[in-house]
Amino acid sequence: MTNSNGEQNVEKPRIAGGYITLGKTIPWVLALSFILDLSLRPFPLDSLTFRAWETATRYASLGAPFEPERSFSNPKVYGDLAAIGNIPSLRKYHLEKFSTDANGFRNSNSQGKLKGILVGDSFSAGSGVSDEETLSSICGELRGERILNAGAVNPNLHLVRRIAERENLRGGYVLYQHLERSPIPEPPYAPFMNNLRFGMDDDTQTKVYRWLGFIRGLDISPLQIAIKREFKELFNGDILPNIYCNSVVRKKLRNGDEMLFLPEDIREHILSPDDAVNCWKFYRDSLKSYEMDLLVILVPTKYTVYAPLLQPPQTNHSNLASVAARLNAEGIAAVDLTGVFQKEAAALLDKGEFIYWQDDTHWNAQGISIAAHKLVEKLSEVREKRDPGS
Amino acid sequence: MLFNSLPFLFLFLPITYFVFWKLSSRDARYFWLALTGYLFYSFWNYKFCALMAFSTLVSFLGGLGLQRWPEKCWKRKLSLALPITLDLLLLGFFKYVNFVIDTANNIAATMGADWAAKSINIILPVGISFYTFHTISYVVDCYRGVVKPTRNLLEFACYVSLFPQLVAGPIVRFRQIEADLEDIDRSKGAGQLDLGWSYFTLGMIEKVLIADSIALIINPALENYRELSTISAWLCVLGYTYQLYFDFLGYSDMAVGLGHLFGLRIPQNFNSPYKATDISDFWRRWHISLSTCLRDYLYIPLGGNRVSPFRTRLNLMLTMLFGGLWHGASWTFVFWGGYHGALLMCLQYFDKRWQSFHVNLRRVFTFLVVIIGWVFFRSDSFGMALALLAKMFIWESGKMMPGIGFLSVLLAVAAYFAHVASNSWEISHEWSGREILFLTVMFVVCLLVIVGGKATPFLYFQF
Repeated sequence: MTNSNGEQNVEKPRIAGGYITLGKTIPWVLALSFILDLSLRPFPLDSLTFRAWETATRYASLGAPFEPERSFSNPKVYGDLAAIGNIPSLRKYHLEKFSTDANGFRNSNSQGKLKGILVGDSFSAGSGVSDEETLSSICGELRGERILNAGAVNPNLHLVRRIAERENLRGGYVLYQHLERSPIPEPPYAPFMNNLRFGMDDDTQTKVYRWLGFIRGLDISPLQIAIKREFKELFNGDILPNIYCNSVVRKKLRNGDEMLFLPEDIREHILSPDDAVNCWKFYRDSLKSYEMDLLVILVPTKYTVYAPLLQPPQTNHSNLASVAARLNAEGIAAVDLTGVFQKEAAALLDKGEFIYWQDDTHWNAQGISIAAHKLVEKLSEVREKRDPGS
Repeated sequence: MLFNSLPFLFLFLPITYFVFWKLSSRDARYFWLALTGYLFYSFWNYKFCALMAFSTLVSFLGGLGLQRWPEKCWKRKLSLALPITLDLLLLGFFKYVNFVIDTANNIAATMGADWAAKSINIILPVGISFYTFHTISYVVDCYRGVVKPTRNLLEFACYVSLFPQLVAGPIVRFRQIEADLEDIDRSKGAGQLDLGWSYFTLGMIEKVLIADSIALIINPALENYRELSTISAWLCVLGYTYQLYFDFLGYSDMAVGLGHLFGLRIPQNFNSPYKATDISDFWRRWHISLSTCLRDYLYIPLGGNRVSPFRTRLNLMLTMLFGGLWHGASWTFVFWGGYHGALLMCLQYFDKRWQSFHVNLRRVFTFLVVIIGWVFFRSDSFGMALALLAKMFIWESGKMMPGIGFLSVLLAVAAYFAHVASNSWEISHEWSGREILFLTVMFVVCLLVIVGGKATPFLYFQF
């Protein structure tokens, strides 16, 4: 049989069972992919992340939230919600300077006598804001004293004790920030595991914890992150549908601006006043042995603050005010930021300004500043009670 | 752990494979496969390993009892009844107790009773419907004398916990795999490697590139099903029809491929069901391992078609209702089973007339009634099912769902492979160099999608 050129048609030889088979190529693909992934693990994440947080947390020492003595500066960071929902049009680019101290906490300044410790979540540590804009920095500046930022690690009594002993802190105070969405911690408030030292002195423990943190950080794959980024470029709603957009909630504010929310924040979060009293009573009483005061800061979620300013207005029933009232009645100093935040958010919105990032779950520098002024006011009352006329 | 996950592909599978082929004795290989099966299961929830071990042990002892008392006596009957009862109790408790409570509450509320029982907080153990069917089929087959009960606990544990078929089937019966298990120390690795990876690669493409890609588009749309237009509703339901098929087909092909890697031949579970020319034909092609189990362990013991026509149809309906209930503790699944039961009964009445139609017409119509059945299968409630059907059959214009272009391409590809192309059991698996290159590139694309996309568990994990 010949083709149109008069050449003889020879059936293509099949080479199944020959040198190249699926039984060889697929295992090789798997092996090479695995080796490639492993070999790229030590590469830094700086150029792959949209903000400092992911880079700073990667090699965090055990018991600390961030990699010690790390600094990061990026003029084009943007919010977590814009990243999660893959919505480039709503990104609000801004500068972020992020630095950590030798213990893996977000502190750029170690000068001056330490007076207070701030514990809490990412709101305390500060996400998307620069070092001088964090809650501890602004409160410290307002009070003219140093407050150590121990935010972004689960608050527990051992953490506070360790810092107080290391810094020789007596007669100071603890600022305990709690977000509306988070459940109130359950006992034990001083977990056994967090106090294990295995007979190591401080230096050895620090080194061991840093190494363990480094090994843990290798679990994060820059290759996989790079591939995920490329996928997000592809599935962005232009070329292919945005498959990530349902991970966030997009709402319109009364001034026409758009704002992103975390779906969890849209739900109501009613905190148990009894649990709140049990938890923070334990802290207050335990801190007495260090002659330290406790101030609880209750932070509303972004949705609680902005729900009345949406188009059409919504309500989010929050009981932070009643929890704060109950705590104060029990002799535990507490401040609820809901009222002041809702008022300030409404006033600033008319000027096109915000107290939470439009594209992020967290508060911005303006929100932190308002919170700082409110809690410094309350802190002054607390300190006045301890040391009248100070 | 999913077959389409990096920990499975990079660590679990290579380690399991290399250690298995390093071991030479039969018991060592049984032990290793049983151990890895439990490890595989423990990645989901280690606490439920004890449940599987219990079910395994009880059925193994039941088998020994049946061997010990070959003559009909109460001990023999007990050896049959006890493992089956315990398995059904486990299945009933973990899967159906809340369904019963909710149903009782609904009935009480309808009758105006001021009474409601509290639901129990239970986690449904993954794959319980599959491994209890494995153990029940083993005991029944031992009782019937179809298989000789094994005296080797390791062999039986290996059979029940065999990771390729553990959590989503196929429901491999002991008799189907017994010969391979007996020869497990004589099988050689290299011979089956190409075939195994060929099935696995095809399964991966079916699952990751077809089923999961369709799911990415239709799932968000189905969450807001009330806003769908008629065209979007049809696309969603058609998308689900192919998603479900390629998801389960992909899993089954991967399971068959993995079986070959360890010298075990896992039977065919799908035979191009959307090419079926009638509903009975569909059930001979869809989830073959389940439909044959239902036939052999329920329909035939009920009398099958050896009884009066009325009883035959009743048996058919009961079997299909049970089949629906097996898929999930919800009335929508029961309805889906009843719907198929009714279709099978209708076919019995009109079979001759039906066969007189052109084969392509019968195919299209069968596919259409199957699609309508999937509406109930997919819906969380009857409200959702009826709303979707209303959208499909009463014209409603509206906004097109996002990603419609991409979905159309996917549906065209899926339709070609479901209705036209040969299935993985019909092809020779002897690939040319170009085909190997193409499949390898597709496998790399699957890996990229696994890493970059959103991981989707296999749909049949929930059943």
